[in-house]
Formats: sequence, structure tokens, C-alpha cells
Amino acid sequence: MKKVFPFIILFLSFVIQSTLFQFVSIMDIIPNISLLFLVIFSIQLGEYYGGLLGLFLGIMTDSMYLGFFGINTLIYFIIGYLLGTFKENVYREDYLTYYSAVAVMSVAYNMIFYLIIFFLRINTDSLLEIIRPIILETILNLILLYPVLKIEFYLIDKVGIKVKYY
Amino acid sequence: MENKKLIKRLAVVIICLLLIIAIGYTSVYNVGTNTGKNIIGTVTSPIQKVFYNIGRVFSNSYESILEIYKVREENIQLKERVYELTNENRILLDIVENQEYLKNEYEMRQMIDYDYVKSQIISRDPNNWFQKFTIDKGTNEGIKNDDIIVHAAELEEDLVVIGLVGKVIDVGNNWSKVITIADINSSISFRNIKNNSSGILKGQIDNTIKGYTFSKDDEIKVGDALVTSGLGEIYTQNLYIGKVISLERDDGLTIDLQVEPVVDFQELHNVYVLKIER
Repeated sequence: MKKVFPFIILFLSFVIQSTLFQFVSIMDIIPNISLLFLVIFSIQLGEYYGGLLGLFLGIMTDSMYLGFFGINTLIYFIIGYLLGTFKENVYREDYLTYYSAVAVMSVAYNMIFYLIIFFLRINTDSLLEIIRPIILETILNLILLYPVLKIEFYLIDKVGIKVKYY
Repeated sequence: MENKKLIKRLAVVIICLLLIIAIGYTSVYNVGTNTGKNIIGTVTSPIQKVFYNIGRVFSNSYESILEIYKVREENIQLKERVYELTNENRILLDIVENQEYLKNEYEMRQMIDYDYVKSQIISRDPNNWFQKFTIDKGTNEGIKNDDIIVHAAELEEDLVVIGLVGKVIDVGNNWSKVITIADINSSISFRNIKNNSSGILKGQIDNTIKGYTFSKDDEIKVGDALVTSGLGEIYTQNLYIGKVISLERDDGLTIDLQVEPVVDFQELHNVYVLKIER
């Protein structure tokens, strides 16, 4: 149960992301709550879990919505794994770490996404046109991060997942 | 320990490579996701449906607060639409008010035997006192030099004639320059409808048309209608020019006369180009 718990949370966040959050779009931008959970879990649980969670979330996202497979999986996997490697150097309660990680990863996620679909010639819009949505999404993610962190800490403490060191 | 780390990193690289290959493959062939889609869709769709419906209920209640931005944008769009419709309405009113004019045009079209092109005046030559203008059709529509420009003109109630405007002097792909009969460089041979007496008309610097008859003995009166005679091989026969407004019999061999053209060149906006086979 304890090992599956992050996957369940991530799955729920993905479902909420794809349903409830479609209605709370602000200026047509939807915050990426699954990315928030992925970032938090990766920092807390390390690269092994981070990579696995990234793969899990990416495969879900890709299979649901994109006609071609692997873009989200690749990005989420790299994000999960990379953030996991920082685990030993951060304190679990340090909010600044989460904020900076979310800011960087929100931008990175969108930029890598843009680059891939650009070179696959799926969308060849100018970079300038997507800067506004990227910035908006990052801001929304940062605003949402605080409640998400609170919820996550509460759940982790309730379920009692031990933060293990590898 | 070192070995373990190496294996881990290798695994990461291999997974990344596999995913890149997957992206490339599925983006080209667009296959392979159906099974996965089905499985995950089957699992998630009932849950998603519940959440989606919850979201819809909630969103209906506070949509108005969240979407002030959208409402504002919509307001701007609606305002623009109102302007657009007002403008359209104005144009339609214009058409209603101009129905007389349109009727004249229709009748003239019935009369024209030649192949013709309707065209619009796009610019006038300001230096030449509005006696030359440019129209929006050119060789693309088959217009040549010396093609004749006409316009509908109403003489009396229900009597519409083909009024002569001028001829094409220069032509490009999608434009033609037109010289009117009131231009100083323009001259026409006329015929009096009543008695076939004929003469020459020339444009003047002050936008009037003056001319003379070939013979001093011709019977011509003020108010006589003049049409083109067909001499000179540019203007075809029987295009209406205008009415004589003054006569001057001096001691010379001819009678000087002044003509009021039937077409008001300042009020022209649309003209017809007769494509004449020569």
C-alpha cells in the first residue's frame, strides 16, 4: 500500500487534471496539477521512484490524449529522474526547493514539448506565440503549489510513508 | 555500489532512447497506441465522468466570476459586430435609395450589344481636373487600348441611353487609364439625331465640351441631342453624348457649339467597358 500510494495520488491528480480543472481555466490556461505532484514526489522519494512515477504519469497522459506516443512520457520521466537525484541534498520541509523546482520544471516541460512537436512538424508556431501561455501556466502552478504541498504533507503523514535513503 | 549506479544510469539512457524511438515511430505511422488507449480509457473513463460532471455543476455556478475576462472580450466582439451591422445597414439603405439608378443600369445592360466589363473607378488624376481616371480592370479581363467606356444615363422618365464616358488609353494587368470626352486631348465626331448633320467635339480645359459642325448650313438648334457618328473608328455609332446648350454662328465656315454631356463625370463611380473587336 505504501509503495503504491504515490501512484494512486498521481492517478487521481491526473483524473482531476483532465476533468475538474478543465472548468477552472483562467484565460484558457489550465494549471498542471499532476506535474506538481510528480515534482513533489520525486524530490521526496528519490530518482528511482521519480523515474517510475514519471513513466507512469507520462504513459497515462500519452495514451489518453495524444495521437503519438512518448512525448509526455519522455519529459515526465526525465523530470522525475532528474529531481530525484537532488533528494539527498534537500530538506523535505524546505518550501523554496519545491517552488524553484516547480518553476523550472513548468517552463522546461513546455519548452521541451514545444521543441519536440516543432521538430516533428506537428506545430510550427513561433516561439513568441507560446511564451504567454507558458508563463501563465507557470504562475498558476506556483499559486497552486502551496495547497498541493499542504495536502501532500498531510496525506504522507497520515499514510506514514517513510522517506528512505538509497 | 558503483556498478549499481552505472546500471541505473544506463537504464535511464536506454529508456530515454526507447521513448524517443517511440515518439518518432508513432509520429510517422500513428499506430500502436490503440491498445494502451483502450485499457487506460476503460479504467479512467467512469472516474473521469464523475469528476467531469462534478466540475460541470461547479463551473456553472462560478463560471461568471472566473470568466470576467472572457465576458469583456465578448463585449468588445459584440460591439464590433454592431458596428459591422450598422455599416451593412447603411450600405443596404444606400442600395434602396439608389434603386432608380440601378434600374437605369439594368436597362442599359439590356441595350448593350457588345461584350462588356463592369468596373469601378479606383483613382482620379488630380492634376488634370478629373478628366482622366483609373479603373480596376485591365488586360486580365480582356481590356485593350481604345475600348469604350460607357455609363447609363437617364434622359427623361423611363428613357435610358448609353452615355459615352471616354476611352481606354493605357492598360495594365489589373488597371486601365481612361480619358473622358471632356478631356482636352479628346475629340469625337458627332451626329445630330434629328437630321444627321455632323461635326467634331473637343474637350476643353474647363471641363466643358465644345465643337463645330462641318458645314455652316447645317440645321442645328439648342437642345438637339448628339450621338457618336462612328467616324474615326474609335467610338462606335449611336452612343449618346449630350445635348447642345449653346450655339454661335460667326462668319466662318462652321457653327461653334457647346454640349452638356449626359454623364456627370464627377458623379461617376462605376463604369462599363465595352470590349470591341476591331
